[in-house]
Amino acid sequence: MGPSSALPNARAVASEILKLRFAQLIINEQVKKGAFRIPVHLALGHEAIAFAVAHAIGPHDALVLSHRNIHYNLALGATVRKILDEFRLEPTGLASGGLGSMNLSNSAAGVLYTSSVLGNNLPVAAGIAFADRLRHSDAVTVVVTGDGAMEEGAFYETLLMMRSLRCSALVIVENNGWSLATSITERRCAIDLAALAGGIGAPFQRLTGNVALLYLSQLQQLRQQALAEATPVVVEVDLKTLGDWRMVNTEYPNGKYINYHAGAAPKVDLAEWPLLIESEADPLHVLAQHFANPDIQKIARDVLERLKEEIA
Amino acid sequence: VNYVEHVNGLLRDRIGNAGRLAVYGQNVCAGSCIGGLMRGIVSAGEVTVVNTPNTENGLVGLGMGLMLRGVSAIYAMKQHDFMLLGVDQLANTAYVLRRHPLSASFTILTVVVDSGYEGPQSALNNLSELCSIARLPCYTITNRDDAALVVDRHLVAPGIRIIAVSQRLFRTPIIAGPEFNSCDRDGGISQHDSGERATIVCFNFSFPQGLDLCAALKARGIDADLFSVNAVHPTDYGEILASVTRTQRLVVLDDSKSVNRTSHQLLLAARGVCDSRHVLYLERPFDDGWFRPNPDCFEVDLEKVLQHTSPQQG
Repeated sequence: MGPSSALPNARAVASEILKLRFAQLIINEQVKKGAFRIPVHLALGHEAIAFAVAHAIGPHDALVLSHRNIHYNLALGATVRKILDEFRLEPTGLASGGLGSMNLSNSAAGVLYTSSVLGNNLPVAAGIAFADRLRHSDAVTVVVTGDGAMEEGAFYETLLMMRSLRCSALVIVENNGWSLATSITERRCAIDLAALAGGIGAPFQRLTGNVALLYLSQLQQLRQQALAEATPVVVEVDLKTLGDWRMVNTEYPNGKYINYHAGAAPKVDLAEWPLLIESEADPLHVLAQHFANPDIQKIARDVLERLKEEIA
Repeated sequence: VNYVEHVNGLLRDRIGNAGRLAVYGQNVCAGSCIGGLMRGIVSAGEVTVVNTPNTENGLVGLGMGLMLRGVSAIYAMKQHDFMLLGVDQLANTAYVLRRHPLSASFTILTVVVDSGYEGPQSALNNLSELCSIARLPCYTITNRDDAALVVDRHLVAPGIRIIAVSQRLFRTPIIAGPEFNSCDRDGGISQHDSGERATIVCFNFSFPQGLDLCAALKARGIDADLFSVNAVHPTDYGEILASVTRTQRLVVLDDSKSVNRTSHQLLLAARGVCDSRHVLYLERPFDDGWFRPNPDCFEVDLEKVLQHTSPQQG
């Protein structure tokens, strides 16, 4: 991992995206079985941005994550075995069983802090970025938040502090349109993030379409901009958290739409070809456009085989 | 030299030889520099001093991040009640960072607004509640010798803590007892006078009243051990309990307007060494005075104490 002007080749991209997907599907099967006592937040559908961040960051960059962090931890090299063990709170886990899922960090991979509390990680990221400025480091702090957490005052405070203290940072807003069980339109007015960022003079970029290599290229440029201009750059990523389903019971005989937030995705199963929906909301669908069908499915089988060997 | 000048001098000395350090906060190097507390503390060498926006929650988190990244930090906060806006960081972030091996320091240096005239919101005149929720070491500063010890030992020591000064004491002369002995070598509890007839223990910012009380008793032939409890977090009361075991008269002063007083821990512990009829607890009763502007003086009833410490009592 790390910044490089050379982009990974298509097969490598496919392998990594598929690994992120399969790893989560394997974990989902365990969640379905009730294997963990801790809450688990899967990030199916978030694989493209996780891949891009993992490849865009520099060797000294810091990542600061939120409760939905599994995709970044996996993209930065955590094995499925280590994650499973952590979720079982075993000493062989990624954080020796001491953090569980929502606070899962991994300083060896650059994930310095992860918070389960909405918006809590943002000021900490500002401090890390300010420390790097004081140390004359060439590092950029990458902090990940969401469309729910950006409603917190900490989001505005952090942008203000980062801008005032001339911190080099990427503030990545994963906009999946939901916070717990409410969609954006059910809970608030629209927020024009470009205008909000512009109001304090911070650059803004929207990423959309789930094209992993394009995201990587854009993040590399934005990272350079953050460094060159000593500024936070706000990056809004349009995505969908996959795993939604319809709940049918006596109260809802015709079914009620359940957006996936946490726990098991009950209608998602581990399959040899792990595509979840036929649209650009699924990074795998986007990825598959660049391959002949047999080729991508062969890559998928190989990745799955390796993961199964790892956890055997 | 008054209280704030004394503490300011200690801060300047300690910060000046602290190595790489970020000192920040609202008006930390502008205007009155927090009533003179931070006066003369400026960017020099490896020390960066910076005024910040009014983002208290963010500023507490900023210090956590600086420390996590290996840069020591002091957040000078004009009023301790601003810290309520940063409780998420103070609690949730600090809980997580306990797992990290921290080589750097983060200190919140704050002023407890205890002068009484701020209005209903001045009901919070202590650190007990904040310390409790944060599970962090917290220290109050009330006198010359404790100030030196707390600043020297804790201001830039690895880890997180809160250090508080009293607004009520700002312009008063800095005080000191006739003796000084740090009971725990850490500034948490210190002894400032000694005697055989009573044990006087001061919590929060009540040490000036305790010192006056000790002198008044001495003038009447009653000598007492005088302790200042600077630690707001749970601490070892062994030396105090040893004193109470010997004197069998305990007088506890606590000027906190709190229902969660640190001094309750000592009262509980003292039950094992002293008849409860020999314990006098001088506190602020919970009433409407907590929630309206008033002089908010913490006055000690000397006659009551004399009666309590008289040999005929009990």
